[in-house]
Amino acid sequence: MTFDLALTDEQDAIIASARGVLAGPLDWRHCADIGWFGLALPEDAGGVGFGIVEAAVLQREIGRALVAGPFLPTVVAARAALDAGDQDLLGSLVTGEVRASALVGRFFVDGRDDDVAVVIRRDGLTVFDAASIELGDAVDPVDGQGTVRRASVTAAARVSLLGTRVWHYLLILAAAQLTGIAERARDLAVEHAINREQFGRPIGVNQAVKHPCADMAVRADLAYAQVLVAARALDGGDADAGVEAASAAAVGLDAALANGRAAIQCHGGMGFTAEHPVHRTVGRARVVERIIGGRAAVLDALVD
Amino acid sequence: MSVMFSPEQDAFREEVRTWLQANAPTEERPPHGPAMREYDLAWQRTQWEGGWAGIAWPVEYGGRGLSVVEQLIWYEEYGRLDLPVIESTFVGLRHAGPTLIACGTEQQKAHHLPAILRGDVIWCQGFSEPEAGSDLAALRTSAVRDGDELVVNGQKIWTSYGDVADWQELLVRTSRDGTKHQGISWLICDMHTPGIDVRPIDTMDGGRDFAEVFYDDVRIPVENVVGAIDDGWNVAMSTLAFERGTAFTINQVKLSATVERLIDEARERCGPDGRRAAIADDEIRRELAAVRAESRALRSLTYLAVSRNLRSAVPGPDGSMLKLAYAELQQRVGRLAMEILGDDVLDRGDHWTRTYLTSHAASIGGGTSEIQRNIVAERVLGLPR
Repeated sequence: MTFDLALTDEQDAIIASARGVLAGPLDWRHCADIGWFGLALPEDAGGVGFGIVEAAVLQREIGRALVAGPFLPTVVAARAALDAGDQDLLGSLVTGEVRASALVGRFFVDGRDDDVAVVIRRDGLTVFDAASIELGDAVDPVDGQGTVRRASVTAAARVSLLGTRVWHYLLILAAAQLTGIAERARDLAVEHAINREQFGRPIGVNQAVKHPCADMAVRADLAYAQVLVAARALDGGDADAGVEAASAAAVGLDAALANGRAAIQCHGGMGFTAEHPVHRTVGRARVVERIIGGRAAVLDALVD
Repeated sequence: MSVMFSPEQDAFREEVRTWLQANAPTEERPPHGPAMREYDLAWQRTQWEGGWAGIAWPVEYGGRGLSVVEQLIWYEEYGRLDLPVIESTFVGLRHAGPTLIACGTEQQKAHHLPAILRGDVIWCQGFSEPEAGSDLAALRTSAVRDGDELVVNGQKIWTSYGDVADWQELLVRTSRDGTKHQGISWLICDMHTPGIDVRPIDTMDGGRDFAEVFYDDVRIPVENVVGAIDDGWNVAMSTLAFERGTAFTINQVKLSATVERLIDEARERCGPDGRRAAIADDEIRRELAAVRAESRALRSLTYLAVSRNLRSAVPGPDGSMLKLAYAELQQRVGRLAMEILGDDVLDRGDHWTRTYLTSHAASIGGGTSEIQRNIVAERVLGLPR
């Protein structure tokens, strides 16, 4: 290992490719074809053979794009399927044939009828077949764009994987998405502060606007740096990887929510409209927060 | 095995740790005055004799010529052993020294750099003035040429360790023509020169590290000008960015250690309900967890900044981000300590109370957080001035 947190050319290429894909209408199979769901899985398991850092930079782009979709649970379920030795599930997830959506309490998040359901807890992960889930009515989704439906489990789990490693894996990838959200909030706010003119000059000349933007930059960079270190720690089998991962999630969540709030404020009335994308920062951050079990659960993993 | 550093860097860390454990002073550091000066200089001399002074300084000026990564490792181990942060040598080692390396004459370098590394002298800073704080370029302390000397009159303030310093990096106005950034000169000032009056300032945490410095017809030889006369602003700016780079690493490592100690305190002390330990209180425990996470992230951001510094000769505005994050976290930890401390808050002699009081300086000294936010907003984000 050399001391360098700068991204490699390969990682930059993943980012460039992801930005292209996320700019257009999303096709799940296509995402699978370019390796999104097995980026950090070994090649003999159908993956691309990269590490967790690469998987994290992809999730960061997904966060930035503020798109709905079960990217996080699908990637984590594929990892769990590999660890649990469920080759069929692994294959179908990596090829995009099946998606895995999160079952959070009594809600099925961003899920479709034929998705498998993933329940993630601090001490492990369970996957239920689509047939084992009874789906109810859709509720109005918090981010105004995804789908959230009531659901309940009707049969036993297909995969039950105990241990904290998969939780740490989830926390890092979730932290990466949250970092992307925090960065997007910062960028939207800065763009608006430069372009929006009032009293004959850009609102960004005012320190009451400028300073919150600087704080957003600091929070986003803290979250980003911690994701990189946590990903390296888990990849390298560092004894402290769990603390690094939970730290990444805690810092990432606080950054995404605080930046989202500040970015909406920076946009004035436009920020509060359904039309403008900036409000999706807090909406998506809340979805990710529930998938990782809530802020308190993450903090309780750090000091108990 | 280490996931961040190379085997050579891990070996270097081991070497640092072994040496520090064997050679670091074990006596308590005197809080101020001549005893503190002797302690600080003796410890610097020990580091120099051990070959550890100026790790990232060029070899030709007595340093080790190693990279900023080795410097970082030194700071990490230093902080981990909870050794005293020697702020009195900070200006010499981290500011005046690098400025002389960048802009000094060979004679100035030969005279001053070895003395700084050897622990012969303490340097202080003469930048801020009562009417020139954040707006440093508004400084008015004047220097008028008289033969081969400059005659200085005026006043500086917030000069840390001014009462024990031998030398000062002194910014003076040598011309009133042009903009306020022009006409400033960077002088090497001998603090023992007649006409200098140093008056310590008491601070809210019970400390006396700051001083006001008054100059009454202080005569400084012209050869003590660093860089060109009237070009002192550029000389000063050439190293200000260094101050905001890895310079905080020791503080950051110590802050992480402080968080861990605070968690131990919360396990031992009685909590707000008067029955259970403080850590059993959900609000306290989760805030401890949040600051533990933030302190990890601050370390990671330091790593990211150092990674970027490896690619550019002059540190960028990353230092301002680090300083903002550090100040925010230090104050948050200070406030949390007060929650845990309960009635012991009332005793300023308590370590935690003093930590809390001292933390208020974090967002002021070395450039206020407001100024840092301007720097980040304008130079990183591209917001209009």
